[in-house]
Amino acid sequence: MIIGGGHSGLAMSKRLADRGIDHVVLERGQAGESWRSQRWDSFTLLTPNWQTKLPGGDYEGDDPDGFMTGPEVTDFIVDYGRKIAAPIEEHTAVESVRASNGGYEVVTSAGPWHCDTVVLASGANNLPLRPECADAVPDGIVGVNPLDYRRPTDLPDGGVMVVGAAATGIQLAEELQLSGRPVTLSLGEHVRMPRVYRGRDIQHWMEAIGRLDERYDEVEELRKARKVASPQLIGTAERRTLDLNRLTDIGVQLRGRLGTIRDGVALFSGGLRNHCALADQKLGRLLDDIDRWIGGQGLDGEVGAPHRYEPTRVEKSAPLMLDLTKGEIRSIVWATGFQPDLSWLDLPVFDTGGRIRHDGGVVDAPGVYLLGGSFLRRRRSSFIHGAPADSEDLAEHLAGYLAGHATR
Amino acid sequence: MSDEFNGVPLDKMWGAIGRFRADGELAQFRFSARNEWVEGMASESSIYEWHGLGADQKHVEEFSFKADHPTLGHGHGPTPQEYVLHALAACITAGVITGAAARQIRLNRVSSSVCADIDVRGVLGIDPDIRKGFSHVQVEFDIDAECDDETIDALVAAGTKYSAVFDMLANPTEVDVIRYR
Repeated sequence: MIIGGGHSGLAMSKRLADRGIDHVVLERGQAGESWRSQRWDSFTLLTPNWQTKLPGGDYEGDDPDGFMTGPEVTDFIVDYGRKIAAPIEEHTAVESVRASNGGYEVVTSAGPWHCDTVVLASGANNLPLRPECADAVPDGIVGVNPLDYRRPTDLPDGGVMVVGAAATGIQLAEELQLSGRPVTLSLGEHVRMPRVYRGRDIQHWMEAIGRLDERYDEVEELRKARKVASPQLIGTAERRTLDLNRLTDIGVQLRGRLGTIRDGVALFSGGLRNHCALADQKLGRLLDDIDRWIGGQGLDGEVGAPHRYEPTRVEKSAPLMLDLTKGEIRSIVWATGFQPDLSWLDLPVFDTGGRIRHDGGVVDAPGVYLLGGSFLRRRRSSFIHGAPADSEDLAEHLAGYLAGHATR
Repeated sequence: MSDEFNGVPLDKMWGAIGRFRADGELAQFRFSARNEWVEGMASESSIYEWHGLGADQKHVEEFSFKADHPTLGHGHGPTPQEYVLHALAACITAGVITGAAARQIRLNRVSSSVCADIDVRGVLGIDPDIRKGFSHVQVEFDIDAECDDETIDALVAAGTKYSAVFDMLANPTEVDVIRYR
């Protein structure tokens, strides 16, 4: 039983079909639903089309360097489901999963199912996270999360505070600022990346140097690696770079991490400069690795010249407070990450922090598997192109489990 | 002593980190200081007992520190604010040194100077719009180490990122001041 008809669930369906394992894919809406219904209008993938790959279903269009919009991703996934003839049950919401008779009972809006194994592929980004201090925002300020936000005109005129500077935060900060709403961007640790380096998309180099294939059981500090935010990238036809300097140039005000809101006043960390320095240094090390790889391959003459980027500019004394009661800020965008919604999973597999216990997607319950999610098995796991390798590994494990688990 | 690097006992450090990872209870520390008025604006703090590693602990001896006012006091010690500068520099420096030790980078010299700006009209209540604390703090490191310049920058940035005192200064902290009854 595969729960979730997105790219992960369908990739797994293909892997199981290839092994002759009988299965069903349950989808609460339609295949690839969340890419269509839970993305803002200007959304595009962070990864170029050539990187959009699923098992037996790589991108075959005529724009390999382009970036898909949300609806295009949905279409890609729907087409893929058709191509592999996935046994998908749409409009079937899972209500609970519990252990039963050595297997699992899956109760759905269309009746119960019994199965030997369960693959959780319902997504890592179902529920937007907000810091606790969000509760202390004064009345009258509109709060939105990236799953509900569609376009700048959804927000009132006037100032916007965007909290979080991963890909989502910086993209929304830019379009809101350009819509005439002055943006204050609160940021902590972040990952700075140019779109194109030495003439090629940064993802090309990330692939080349093997960065995306780093495995969960090889990386130091896995918990930290899983918490790393998405890189500051945007996918546009002109392949432009969107970084904090660009935001500063168009008038966005940078502030430190939002510490708390006290008596209606937002208090920002004074560590903004250090956070920016850390991100600049990290980018420098990545570019060093790329340059070294290019040199090692003897490609120096064939690609653009190595270069470095201007350090992130941080104003001398960025204010540490912003009074939210003064009317300057009319809305807040919480681009502070997501978590999966597994509230229907009635199994003792959660740790005290509510996170599901798993070893590279092999969940701490026999025959239960997890797909998607940050650094599940590899650095690429949270991207669409993470699905092929992860689904192959876990399908292999699942097949072994079924073989050892005498069929009743 | 064979496993010390830059004077940091590495085996002991990794051992402690491993134990904290396995048992979060051991990582619950509590630090405390006692303070007593001396005379005038001077007071003296003593620091001796602390809690951590699952037990009550003591420093090798009781350490004492006096603070006073630079113009209205009688020269017992520096101002309380200046102790914060010492705490910040000492904390980031410790982070730089352990970070270097963990990466086996030999340090020859680590010095820093800290300066902090304050408009005392805030503490004196002359202008309610002026904050009471420092308006800006700058720590400047001068480091001689057996590694390249970028690695030194990374050591300082990481030492800052993992500094408890930096975190307390740069981010809001809940502070309760109550009466003993």
